[in-house]
Amino acid sequence: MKQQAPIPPIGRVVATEQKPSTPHQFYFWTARSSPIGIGAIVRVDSDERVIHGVVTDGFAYSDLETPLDAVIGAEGDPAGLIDPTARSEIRLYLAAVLRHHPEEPLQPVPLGAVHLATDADVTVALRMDSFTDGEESTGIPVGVYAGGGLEAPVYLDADFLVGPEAAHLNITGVSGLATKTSAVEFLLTSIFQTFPTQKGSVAALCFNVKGPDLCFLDQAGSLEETDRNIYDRLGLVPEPFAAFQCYAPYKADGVNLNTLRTHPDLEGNTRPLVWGLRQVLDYAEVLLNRDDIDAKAGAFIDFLAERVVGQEFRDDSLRAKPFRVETFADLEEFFRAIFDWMEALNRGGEIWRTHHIATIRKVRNRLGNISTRSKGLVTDDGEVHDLPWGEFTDRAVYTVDVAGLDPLAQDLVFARVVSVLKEQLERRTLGVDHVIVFVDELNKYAPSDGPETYVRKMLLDLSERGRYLGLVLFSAQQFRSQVHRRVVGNAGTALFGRMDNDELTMGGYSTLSAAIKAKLATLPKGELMIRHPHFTQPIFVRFPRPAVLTGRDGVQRFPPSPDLPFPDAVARVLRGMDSTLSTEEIRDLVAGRRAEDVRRSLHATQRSRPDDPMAYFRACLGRAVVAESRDMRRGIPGVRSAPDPYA
Amino acid sequence: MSSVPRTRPHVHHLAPLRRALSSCGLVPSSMPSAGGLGRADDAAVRPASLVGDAVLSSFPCGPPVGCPEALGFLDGIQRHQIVAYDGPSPLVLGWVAAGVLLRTGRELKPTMAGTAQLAIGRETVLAKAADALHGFEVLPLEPPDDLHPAHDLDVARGMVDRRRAQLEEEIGQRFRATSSAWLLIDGSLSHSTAWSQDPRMLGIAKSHAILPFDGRALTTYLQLPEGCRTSLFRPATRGGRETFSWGLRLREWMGKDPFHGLVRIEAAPTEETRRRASEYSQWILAERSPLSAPDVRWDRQLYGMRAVERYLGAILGE
Amino acid sequence: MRLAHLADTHLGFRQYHRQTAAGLNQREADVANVFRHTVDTLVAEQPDAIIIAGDVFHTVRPPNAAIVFAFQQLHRLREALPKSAIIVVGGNHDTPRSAESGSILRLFSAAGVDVVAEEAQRLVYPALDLSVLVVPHQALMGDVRPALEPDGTAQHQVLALHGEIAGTFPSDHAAMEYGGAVLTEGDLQSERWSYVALGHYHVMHQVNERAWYAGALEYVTTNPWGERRDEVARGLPGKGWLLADLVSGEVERRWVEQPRQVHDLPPIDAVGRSVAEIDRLLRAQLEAVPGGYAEQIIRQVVAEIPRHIARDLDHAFIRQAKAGALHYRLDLRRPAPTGPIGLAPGGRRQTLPELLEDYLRRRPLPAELDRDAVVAAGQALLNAVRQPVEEA
Ligand SMILES: Nc1ncnc2c1ncn2[C@@H]1O[C@H](COP(=O)(O)OP(=O)(O)OP(=O)(O)O)[C@@H](O)[C@H]1O
Ligand SMILES: [Mg+2]
Repeated sequence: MKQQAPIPPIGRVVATEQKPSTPHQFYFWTARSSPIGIGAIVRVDSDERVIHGVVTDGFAYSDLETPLDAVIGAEGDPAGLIDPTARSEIRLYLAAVLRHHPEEPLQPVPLGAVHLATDADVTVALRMDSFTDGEESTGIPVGVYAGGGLEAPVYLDADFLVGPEAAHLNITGVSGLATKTSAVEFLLTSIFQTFPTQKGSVAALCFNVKGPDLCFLDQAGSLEETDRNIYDRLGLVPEPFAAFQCYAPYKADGVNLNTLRTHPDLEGNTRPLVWGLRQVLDYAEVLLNRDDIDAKAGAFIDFLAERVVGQEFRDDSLRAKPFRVETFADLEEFFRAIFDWMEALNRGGEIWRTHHIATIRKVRNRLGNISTRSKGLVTDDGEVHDLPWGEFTDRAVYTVDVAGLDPLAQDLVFARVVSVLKEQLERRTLGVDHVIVFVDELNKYAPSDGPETYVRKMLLDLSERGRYLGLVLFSAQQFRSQVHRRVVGNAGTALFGRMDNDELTMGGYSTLSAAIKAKLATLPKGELMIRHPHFTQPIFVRFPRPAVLTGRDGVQRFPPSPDLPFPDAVARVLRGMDSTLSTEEIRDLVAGRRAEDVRRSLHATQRSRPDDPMAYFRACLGRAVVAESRDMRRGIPGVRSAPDPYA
Repeated sequence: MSSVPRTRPHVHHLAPLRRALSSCGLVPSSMPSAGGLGRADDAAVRPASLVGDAVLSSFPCGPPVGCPEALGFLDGIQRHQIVAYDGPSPLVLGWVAAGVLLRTGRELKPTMAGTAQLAIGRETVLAKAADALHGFEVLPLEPPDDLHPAHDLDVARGMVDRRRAQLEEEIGQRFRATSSAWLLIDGSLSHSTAWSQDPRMLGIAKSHAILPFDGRALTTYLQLPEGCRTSLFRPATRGGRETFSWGLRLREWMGKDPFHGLVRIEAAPTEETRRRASEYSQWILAERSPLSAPDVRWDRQLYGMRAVERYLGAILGE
Repeated sequence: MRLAHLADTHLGFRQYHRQTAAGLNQREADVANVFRHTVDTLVAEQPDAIIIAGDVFHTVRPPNAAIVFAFQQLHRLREALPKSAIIVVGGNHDTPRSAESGSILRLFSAAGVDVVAEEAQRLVYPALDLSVLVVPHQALMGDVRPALEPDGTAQHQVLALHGEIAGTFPSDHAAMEYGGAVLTEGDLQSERWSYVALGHYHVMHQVNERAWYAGALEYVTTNPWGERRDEVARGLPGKGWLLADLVSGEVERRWVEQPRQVHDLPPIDAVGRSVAEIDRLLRAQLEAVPGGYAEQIIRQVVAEIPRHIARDLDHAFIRQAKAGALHYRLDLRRPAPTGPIGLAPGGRRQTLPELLEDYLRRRPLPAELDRDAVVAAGQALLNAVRQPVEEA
């Protein structure tokens, strides 16, 4: 394993009583001009051992004993004559050991020559040989390690990124400079292109929580030459995601989508996300722990979910005809019947089937609240548009755009989507073996403090148990310290972009040297520090710009269509399905019709995707029947005189 | 608590007294730093003859100006150690090193160095130790006057000293063989014929064990103000080669000792030296910075020289 | 504002061989008589509006007598109630398949009533503050159905419609007529109407708070016993029509007296019984019919009766019964020859209905179809072929 060094050493290990070598770190000095820097990977060659390490700190010394000497030397004048001789200065670096060879017996690093790492050294140092060698490589390129003129690919181990050994990824860094979102986008590309076939299929579901961030993943972005080189070096093809669908709820008007991806050219794979009472009720829990809802309310909701909604519910005391509650409107009718019944009882009408009227009212208000605050997501007419459950496809990205939603509705979307993913992965009916769920702004959904919420519990559960199911959480936030410890702690892989200084003073970063912190605080765009189970030390890599359009460029290239007046918005949706339709024709058709009816018909048409959308829509909507005024007429008396044939 | 008497003796609190002495016409001073005077037992006055001037005078040299050309620093170091005794006679090991650091731009680069290891002792000692002394230059001790072991050591030390001087000279010659750069030598040029005639060599003597003047001239010499040089003179040498020499005050000495920052420069006894003595002094004034602290003779040790010493020290494995 | 809602009068319906003195089919005369009697009641009640929600006639080309009779009766209503809205809706029985044929119903506008037989029409009666969206069978058969929405400012918004509301009928569909247009209850949006007057189902039935089937005025189907069974199951005494008060929301059921009863005598299980025993039971059950069996419509099922026993029954008595009753149907059923077919998951054999249900539950369906309704329809069809009603 002894490496043949084609280049002379750049430094030598030094060990003194003050600064001894240990099995996990060593000092070495270099020439002042040496290209070494923090994060550089080096190799120490000695007779019996080869050690790889990564530079974690650096020191420069001169022979000056006290600053006073400098002052005296310059005669107190900083602007004085420049010294004819530069003070001698030395460079000393501290490196953390990445790997020993042989690994046993584990010994202090010997006094050897220090070399800059080669490609092969990087592979060995990061233990990537253990998972990238051989037929069934599980290496997922994450970027290039750049040091000393070298650009060596760095791989993550799919078994530790997507499971089952470990899973999840978290990325931290300040807004705009840390390239968090970009890094995840790039990594998804990398995973989709290199995820080993023997490990099965994989899809990604991204929650878009901020502006247009993740809305244009199917569109090519602009790359620079340097980016293309990195893609090349990593063996990846810079192209946007071929299989992409964006799901967004409607705005309150029920026809304009609540997303910034509304440009007509992108309508093909922009779909509405609309849920009904059933979908909401199953996740009513989400909304409950937000407030002070108690077990009694929970019990009543369970009763509704199990006994009333979506089935025939008979209660002759309320009314003779059975209830069939499918929509919020039906539910309201049901509630009204209960309240009427209670009123009719005058006194003692406090309890209905063991549920107290106050509880019933509370639940009704809460559920009513959902349908108001989630207007556009939750429909009243029973038409449901959902994610393609059971039909997820390999290497497809599904963006769920919740950026414009009320926080309550966002929680609902998170809770339901993740729960259904979990259920379906458990039953293996989702259509793919693994799903990567990307949650940006994690600090909002799994904060380190604040009340226990359903969404946080769910994210925690996902981070703890998801890997057994193939459910993988990729998350990002500006401040890791503001996120629930165990949620980030469970991420097998952690990425760090440019960091905020205050954040770096938090406890979680105490193992990092001051130099690494300084580097993190000034990290340029496109560079990341990585912790990964195979790497015994954090490693710095550079990754290329993602091959997709950024949100900002996206809205420029595909400006969102302005919100249209209701009839025009309807026309736009229909024309999206059949471009030969005329807006005029559709406008005429819906003129004067009730918005609810138009919406219902439109949703039904979108859901069925018929060959002739207009005909289908027209049929759903029905022909308008105009009024004809009738006067009373007298009949002609013709046959009156004839005998009654049946008399 | 009784009040402290004003006349209470105090070893360190001397400023008021110094002020009082100053008004009596004395120059306030302090003890010379260790080694400032060289070895006391060598101390002597050997009057020199002035070159040109009738009386020793002082001249301001002008502002410090770094030597515009590449500049070499030549110095040597020596170490010795008693490693064994044969009866009362010690076996002394000596190590010497000499080398040149050449400054181009502002960087000092080692360009040349040499070392020697010496084993010094009486014949009997050396004979017994012969098998263990591979790689050492074996130097028998001249027959001594008495058997006092301390004396043996002194003699041995002198031998090491001479070997160092010899090595320095070798290195200087080797350097000159390959380079015509200006070379500053730590010490006097007068031991070497070649050096004493080299037009691009300056010797910097920090030791003042031998003083070139007495009487009023000595006062002038020792009260030379900062940034000034003396008139040129020919030092009186015992069998040494002729050089031109002058005193140069590198630093303010008032309140220190009269030798503080005082060096004696030697150069080839030529017309050019007479003409350029102030210019050369300006170069050397520029070498005051960087300061060579923590060297004990930081007041007159040049940074470049100290660098050579450290370089040589590292070579000897210090 | 009182609205009389009747439906499925099926004038011209003929059944069995019995004739009146005048030589008309007895059942045809029965149907006419009940209708005439109902008109009498309506004239007396003076409702503000009358809706006959489809199937006024039993066929597209009814007998002349029925046409003349209908004209006379409607004219009589019109004369007696000059201020009332009288609306006749086209049903599946009286509307020709092809629109070109033209409906006989159109004739009746000459009687001064409002006939809607093809396209849906919204009839507004300003004097009554009433708007009625009339949706005949024909209007529901095209590609684009009319939008079932109230409109305008009239206080009373009524929907009159002839068709089947999926899922509201009993699964065996005994009283159901095939060929009706199928709608869902949601399509009606009943909550938006003052009243929904439905026709097509022959048993009086409240679909939801405001939507009603009035049911027929007589048993005008091939299987009157099944229809009677539905009525019994729903606790109904028989046939009638509805009088709805659109202001109070109250709906009053008006029963009409039938000239004869429909009896389905308790089935006799022939297993282990002798010929004599069965003969005795047949006789006893017939004689136990309240008010006597003469001129009544009667069915007697004998289950599991082997051919040789059936052959030896007292046929003289049976002939006598057939002569006495308007219709005596002796339904002799052989022991079931078929065992179960198919295999259920547990290895248990599946019956045919189970097999069918199983299949229909799994079969891909167009999204707009309600699976439960499809299963129900499938079962109804299966029932219809499994218990064939042999015309006596
Ligand atoms: N590999 C890269 N090299 C250089 N610049 C990059 C790279 N990737 C992304 N960028 C640039 O960095 C900017 C910020 O990226 P990004 O939106 O991913 O940051 P972020 O950390 O997610 O920010 P925020 O916290 O605001 O969401 C973008 O303008 C993008 O063009
Ligand atoms: Mg971002």
